[in-house]
Amino acid sequence: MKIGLVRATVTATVKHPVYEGRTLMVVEVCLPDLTPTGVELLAVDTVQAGIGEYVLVLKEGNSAAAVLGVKNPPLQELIIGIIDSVELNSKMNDNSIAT
Amino acid sequence: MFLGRVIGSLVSTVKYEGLEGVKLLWVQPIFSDGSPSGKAIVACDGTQAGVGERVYMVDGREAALALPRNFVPVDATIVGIVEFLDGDIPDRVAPDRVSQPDGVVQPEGAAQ
Amino acid sequence: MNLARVAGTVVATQKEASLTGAKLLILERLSERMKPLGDFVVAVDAVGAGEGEVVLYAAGSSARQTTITKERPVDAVIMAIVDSFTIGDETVFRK
Repeated sequence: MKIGLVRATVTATVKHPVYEGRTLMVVEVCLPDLTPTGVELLAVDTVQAGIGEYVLVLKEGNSAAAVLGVKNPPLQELIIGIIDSVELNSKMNDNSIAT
Repeated sequence: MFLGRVIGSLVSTVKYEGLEGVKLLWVQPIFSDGSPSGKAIVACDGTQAGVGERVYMVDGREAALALPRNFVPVDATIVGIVEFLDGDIPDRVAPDRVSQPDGVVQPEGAAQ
Repeated sequence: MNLARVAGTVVATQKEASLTGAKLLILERLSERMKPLGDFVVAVDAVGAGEGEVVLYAAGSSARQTTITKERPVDAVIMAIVDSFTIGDETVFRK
């Protein structure tokens, strides 16, 4: 799983049926100390996340299929949690900034 | 999944069995503000997207799951045509660089 | 998928047992303007590509989704031979 910051929602006209009725969001991947990295991905929301919220993003197709209850969906990334807080000890925090 | 802009199309008659009739498009991956992200790739089209359109794609093994035959060796498929993005999108480049399909192609040798 | 030109073949007598019989080709990745990108990859050929041909390869777990590469240690597979392509309305490549 990754930590991310919800940046935007995506509205699509034409889409694969598995995306119908679901919210697709632009998520910027963050470091453990919540610093945005500039790397973006799209994820389907399952927890009513909002723009500006820090979330947990899962990237694993089989798990996504299980969570959505759909067989073989053409999607990988799901938002599966809204982050309340992250606790890092000072050493880890230093490492995460360095990498 | 990730965003991209369709910049061209590609024709192949000799391809892996099961990919007959699947349209192939050149797509430049982009950030949410439209600026290019990495090098252009070729993606299968599951949506009848056209050149210049903003789309989103699924990558990995799941790319095959959007096609008529599911056991095929493809690693990117277009699964949606974007109408608009709504949110707090940080600017990465000047808007005039992203308006033309040619403008979104990253220069050769540019850092990813 | 990525665009590439077949730059050579690899012969490896001693390899992971399940790779016996796999045709291994060296590919050099090309840009959408046909410029060599300096990235090389060894891929299993699933379509009968020849030396010098312009091909598409699929990478990652997708590469195992052919009858030749199923459940084998493969991370790149040639899945199409390119006839032609256009960028915008300009034909950049024709076989």
